[in-house]
Amino acid sequence: MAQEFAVIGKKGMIDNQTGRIVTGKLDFAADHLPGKKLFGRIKCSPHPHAKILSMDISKAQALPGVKAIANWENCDVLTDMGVEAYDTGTTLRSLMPQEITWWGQAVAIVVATEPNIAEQAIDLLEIEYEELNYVIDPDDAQKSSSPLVGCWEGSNVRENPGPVVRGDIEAGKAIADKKATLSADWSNYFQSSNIEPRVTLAWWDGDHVHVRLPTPGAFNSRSVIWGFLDNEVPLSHIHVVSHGTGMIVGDKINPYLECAAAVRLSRMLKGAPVCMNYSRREFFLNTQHQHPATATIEMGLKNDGTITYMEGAFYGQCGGEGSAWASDLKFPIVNTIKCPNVHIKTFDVATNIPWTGIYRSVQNPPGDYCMEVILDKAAELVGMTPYEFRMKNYTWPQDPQQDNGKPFSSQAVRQNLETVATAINYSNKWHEPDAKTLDDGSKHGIGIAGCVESHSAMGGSIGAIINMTKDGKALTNHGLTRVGCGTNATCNAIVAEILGLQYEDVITGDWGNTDVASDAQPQWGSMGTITNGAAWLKAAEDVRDQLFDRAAAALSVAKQNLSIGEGKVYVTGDKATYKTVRELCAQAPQLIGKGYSWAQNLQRDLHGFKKGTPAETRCTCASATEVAVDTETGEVELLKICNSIDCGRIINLDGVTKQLYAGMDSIAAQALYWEQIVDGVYGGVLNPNFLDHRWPTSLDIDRETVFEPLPIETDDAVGPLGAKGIGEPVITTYGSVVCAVYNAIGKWITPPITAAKVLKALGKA
Amino acid sequence: MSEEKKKTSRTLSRREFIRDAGIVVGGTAVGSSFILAACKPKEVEVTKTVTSTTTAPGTTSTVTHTTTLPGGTETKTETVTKFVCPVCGEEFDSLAALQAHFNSVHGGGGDAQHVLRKLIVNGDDYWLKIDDNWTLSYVLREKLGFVGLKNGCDRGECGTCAVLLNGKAVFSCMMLAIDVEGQEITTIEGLSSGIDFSPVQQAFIDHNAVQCGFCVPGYIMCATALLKENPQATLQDIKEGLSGHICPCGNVKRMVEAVEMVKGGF
Repeated sequence: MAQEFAVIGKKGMIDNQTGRIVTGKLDFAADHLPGKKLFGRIKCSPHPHAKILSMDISKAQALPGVKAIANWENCDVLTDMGVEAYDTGTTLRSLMPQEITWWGQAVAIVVATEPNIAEQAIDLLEIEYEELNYVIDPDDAQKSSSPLVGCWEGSNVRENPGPVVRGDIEAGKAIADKKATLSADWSNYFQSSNIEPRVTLAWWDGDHVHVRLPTPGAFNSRSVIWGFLDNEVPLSHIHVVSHGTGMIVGDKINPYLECAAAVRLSRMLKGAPVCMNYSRREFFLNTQHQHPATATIEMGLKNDGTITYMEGAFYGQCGGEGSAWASDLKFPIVNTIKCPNVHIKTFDVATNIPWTGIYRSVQNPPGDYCMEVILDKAAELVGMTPYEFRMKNYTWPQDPQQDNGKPFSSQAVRQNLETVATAINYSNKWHEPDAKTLDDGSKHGIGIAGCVESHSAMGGSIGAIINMTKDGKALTNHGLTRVGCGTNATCNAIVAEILGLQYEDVITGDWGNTDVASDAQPQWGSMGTITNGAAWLKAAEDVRDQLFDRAAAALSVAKQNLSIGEGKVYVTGDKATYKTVRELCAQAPQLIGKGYSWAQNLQRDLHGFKKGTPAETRCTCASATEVAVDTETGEVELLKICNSIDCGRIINLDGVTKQLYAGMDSIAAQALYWEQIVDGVYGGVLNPNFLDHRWPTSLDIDRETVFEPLPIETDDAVGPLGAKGIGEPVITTYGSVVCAVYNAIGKWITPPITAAKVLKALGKA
Repeated sequence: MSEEKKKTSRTLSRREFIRDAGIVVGGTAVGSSFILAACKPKEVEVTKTVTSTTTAPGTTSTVTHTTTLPGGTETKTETVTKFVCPVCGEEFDSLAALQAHFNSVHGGGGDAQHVLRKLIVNGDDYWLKIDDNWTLSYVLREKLGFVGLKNGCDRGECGTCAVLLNGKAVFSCMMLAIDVEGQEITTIEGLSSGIDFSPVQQAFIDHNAVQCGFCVPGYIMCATALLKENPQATLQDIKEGLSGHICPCGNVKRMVEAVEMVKGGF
């Protein structure tokens, strides 16, 4: 990409909140009002499926320090607590229903002066349940004899509308040299588990409510809170501030019971601050998990490896709340694999396991895992390496999307795959499965995976405002919250580039504050950079235009003969004739710039499509993994992970690099570590803690030698300055680890690939 | 008089109380410490001193009765001072009555110092009432306002609550506050003035080694203790030393590198 930038793509964009973070001064929700707040705790159901018949709260109520108890029946403070009760309507009730559909689901909330007291009170609640039949296994849940989970009427299985239907299956069958039914077993059920649990602190000041919570979208949260208040409180009376967010990867994507409880119980307690700060156990049991997925596809193949048809289905297991996301499993079929004849359905299967829901990269990781296994199996059938097979069948950058005909604004999955294959020396290292033993006796394996991930699109129209200070600095108040991936820094860099300033001359005043900033695209869908970046770019162009107006008048030149850079507006070709940005800003009135993001249309001609054509904007990714499997202990050692991502244009090099490393951490964890274990007998979760559902620590992976980040740039035709989001695609291709283990020992093992599973697969346990 | 900072929700200052009540600051007269400790507001009150003299200021609650005399031509205002028990909040008309109550009900034995415990945090003394089952992290965060340390798990699995105890890194969620009375506690707030950063903090800034930031104070505290004990820590030493922490943002590599930048320059 030829264009040279002064700020964009350079190192050293240090987030200007770093100083606060290292001194402990960045405020997270539960940091506010120390010593002045009440604490809430959740009573978790001891049954996977039950109906609450009665709840005697008298003993809990009598405990000194208990201020409020809420459950399905009253969802308010009981009158003999000395506080007026009021009808909370149905919102809180539905978040804490009478019929429990997963083990650990909230059945009551106790608010007290201390967390210890709330926890003691929880244990004093005397609850009578009617235990109901339940089902944990998703295969069992599909049988006609299965008990109903309780989240849907009449069935545990839902077929999603909108199957992928393309071409003519029979025509595909007719030209196939081989046909095979290929499948991938259920992937893992896990929660990446944000380091900061779900939390909301709320207090009332008259008819104004102040809310502190970690959220990807302060404005979106405000709207949700408005709903929790039955739409009776004006939006302008709901003050949301989200400064510190202890990681947001879907787990805290939307305010939920903890927020509804804090907001409403605070109001009932005459505005007293109420902090619903989940314990780690409460968080594991009452926050979303990733859906396990499985797929079975009948595939037609020509001898040269071309896929002629695909027919089958993806299944996603959802938890007792019935949050259905299996429709997203089909994205590899839609975007990544080129095939003219397709009929693929998706189904959700409900079970009585804790909540599954929106997650980082949503259903791309399990859907991609399923496809990677199936593609490797197909490659074996035609005698090709997995890499060759993918390159034979992946979509090309110039291919329009197969089902809606839209052009991709950039699409580099083949380049990603080629990049990681080259980096890991795939062509020299690949071998038949179970064919190579290393000097230490372990089995060597190599795997590869790629994906046109479903995120990074342009979000809804949002705005940005730049206030120029009299000394020539740009003050930005971001509606975007700060989740740590550097999006605010990226937007500031765009502003600096357009205004010819140094990165340090763009100052973030505030962020994630609904009282100060303008609405922003939430930090989900990897839309933060592309959408907010577009708005900030337009705002900066507005400021630049006004600077040019002032400079043109001062220098007596035409506006079109001016350029900007190095803190100056100067005559193009004559840098000695200029006015400084500072001088121009010192004039009255204050320079204020406003801008809005644009629609997802091509910003230039591309692949025969005209500028202005509605486009598909997606991020592409690939990873290649090399492993050594110890067949005596079953342990899998990661030797190498190469992770390539298409960034469009790299704005914030530090941010991109950190995200790629984070992605490889997550790839390793999804493949080797994470599993929320639900006991099949009593339906309880056995490991709602970090010890047994663990993150790889500094000792678990030799990150310095194992991880290799490989970002590429494609100059996206929709994104601001060609940039697009990457936060989710970086974690998607954990199937490469699964495929590498298969290549090592010739056995398919469902993730997480534990030593016990390896030994069992090898017949040694 | 030693300079003090006081955290209380009451408006009566310690200086005002002591001046009005005529009680010696830091006096060793028999019962004086009890008096100062006993005369506490209903809320937990924390006094911070910057000298070795520690006091537990007392306050009184004042009730004003206004009586209109017959004929309505005069009013008489009577001010009644109450003495408030620091344990249960009950009010008494005299100090003697409060003392009697304290001894009989709370088993104070005449010495209310048993009620208040001293925590030494970042070089300053704090006197406060601490329940036996309060963790150190809870007391530091909710009672003393040191919210730089975080609570990610409350069971010693994540490292976000790490502080230094006598220079060694500990998980404050796994310690009872009463067990560390009188020991030197250092939190993230105590590492720097906020203008000049400690070497580890500066390294994290220079290396841009933060993402969401929630786990960072814990990592910094642990790294500080590690490098203090072993300024020439190797990469492996650093990785072992920090292995009790997790970073779900996946930023471990950056933080390890930042710590490695410091060694030798600590």
